Amino acid sequence: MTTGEPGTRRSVAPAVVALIVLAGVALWLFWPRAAAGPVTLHGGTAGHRVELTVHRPRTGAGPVTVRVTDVHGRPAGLRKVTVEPVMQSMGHAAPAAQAAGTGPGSYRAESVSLFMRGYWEFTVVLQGATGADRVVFPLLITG
Amino acid sequence: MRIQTSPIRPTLILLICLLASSFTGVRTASADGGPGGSDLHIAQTLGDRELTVVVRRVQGVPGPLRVDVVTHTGTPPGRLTLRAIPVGATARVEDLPPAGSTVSQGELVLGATAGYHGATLRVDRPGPWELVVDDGEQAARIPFIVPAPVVSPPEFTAYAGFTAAGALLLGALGAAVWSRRRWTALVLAGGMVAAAAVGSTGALLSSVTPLPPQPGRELDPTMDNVVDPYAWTVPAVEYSRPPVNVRLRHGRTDAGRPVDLDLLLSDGATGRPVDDLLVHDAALIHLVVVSPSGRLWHLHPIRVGAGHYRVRLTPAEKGRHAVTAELARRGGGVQLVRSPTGFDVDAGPPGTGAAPTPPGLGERDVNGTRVTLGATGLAAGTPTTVTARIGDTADLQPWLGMQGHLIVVGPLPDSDPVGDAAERAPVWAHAHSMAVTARGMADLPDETVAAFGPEVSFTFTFPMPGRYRVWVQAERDYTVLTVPALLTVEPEEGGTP
Repeated sequence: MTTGEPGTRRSVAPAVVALIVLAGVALWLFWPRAAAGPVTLHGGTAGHRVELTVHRPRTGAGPVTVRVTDVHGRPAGLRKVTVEPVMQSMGHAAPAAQAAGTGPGSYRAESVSLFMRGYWEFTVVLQGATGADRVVFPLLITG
Repeated sequence: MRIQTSPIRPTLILLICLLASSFTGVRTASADGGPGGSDLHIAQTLGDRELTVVVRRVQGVPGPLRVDVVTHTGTPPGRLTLRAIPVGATARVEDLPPAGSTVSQGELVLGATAGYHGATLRVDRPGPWELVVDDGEQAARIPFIVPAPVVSPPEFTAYAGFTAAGALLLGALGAAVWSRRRWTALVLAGGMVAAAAVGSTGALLSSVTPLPPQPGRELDPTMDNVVDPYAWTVPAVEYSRPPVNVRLRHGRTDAGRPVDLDLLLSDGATGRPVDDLLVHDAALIHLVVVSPSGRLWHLHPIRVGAGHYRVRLTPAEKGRHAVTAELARRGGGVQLVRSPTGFDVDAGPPGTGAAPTPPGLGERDVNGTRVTLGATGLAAGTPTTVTARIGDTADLQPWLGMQGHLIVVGPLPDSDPVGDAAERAPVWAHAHSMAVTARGMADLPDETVAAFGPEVSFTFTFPMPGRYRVWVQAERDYTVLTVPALLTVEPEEGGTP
């Protein structure tokens, strides 16, 4: 009989613990998960540098922040900033959200509606003194 | 201190050595990503020039970007400015020039002789880029992708599994020789077997795991999804996109004077500008224009902005010109967009006028080249093969990746001007003549190789009987020859069911 030997139990125990830890690490690594926190994307054109933050990158309505500078890094003065969410492959367009100015070069739209999971595109339209400039930010919404 | 004298230890060492030898010579899975892609050939009608821009494959970033420009007969000499601009959004914060700024610039001098002209630019990151080709008056913005080396999850698993197996093997050997506890070597050897199993499974799966959606071809590309396309995978998604509407915009159009024709593309579901055209058959758009007398233009508008394309042509006669655009959107599927309006041309100065009515089958002279046209069984509903013998030697060059093109419009009534009738014609087609190559299309040489023909043949099924205008196009000596003809297609044998 070997089951009752304390030495054998001690030998097996570390191996079992190691296996459990390994399995836990593997589960944590490979468990599918949606982006939980805000996502910030950087883009630009010949005239503007644009930073788009989607605060709740999940289905439903959530706020979006846009920070715009000129090519020298100075906050851009714009007449109007609009965020237009679209799903190109589905042929869906969500209502455009006008972003209100919250500071120099900073704009925020409180409710941008994403009605389903999939490949979205946020077109940020910058209306300035010289006309409109557009920057497109593709984003995958998984949750 | 007790010395272990049990026969278990030598047995264990032997077992580990046997396992180790079994891994000798094991090769990891070959990468299915890597700096892939191929040269991008794209025809551009830039102002008065018909160019083929060749964006060579980028081998790595930062690195050189070779751009060649092929000119054709009649291309005016001059100077082009090339600019490489990254345009992709990214979540990464890197110490690189921001998207939208010119990273590299070069100049290219076009001589009076048709042929290749090249310049080398520089790219500093993977992702979507624009190559701007500027002639000083107009600028074509050509989208292209700089690829990144990609490791698929199964490949990563294979690498990680075999690396772990190697480390555990060394540990097990060490433990078997030096450790006083038998279980240590056993546990390590067991771990090695498990890691090897994981690695083998990853290696096996890497060859059968489907590719992720391809940025550029299926997804709107960003720097992030080009670098890690596996993070952008959503199961069971349809990538194809809605159809396209086209609106024409132009200034005053007089015969004999060049006019810039703007094409404004909008999405058939959202109405938004369409800015996701793929290069298909070596162009973003194949624009076909038919004049009132049946003169044909096959042009390749330049992209000047999102959903905004422009082309210059010089109409030669008064009247309605029919316009179609052949294009492919991201996600797949080529579509033929027919302008409902075409454009009207006013009378021009004396000297401009209608083209003569073309002959049917048989021999004719086209710009000094003898061309013989033949066809088998010109009946509706059955495959008809139209053959053109252009010149007498095999010296045709591939144009737009093909050795020949056939444009078909009809059936057309006798009475109306061709432009008006073409606008209403039920059939508008573009067939290709493909050269036989050893291993498929990838082997077809580029425009510099004049070794095809002299016969080019096209097989097309005319859906209905009637009079058709056809135009055969092929390139010879850097000149695109257009051979017009009039074909009469007989009714289907036995009638239409």
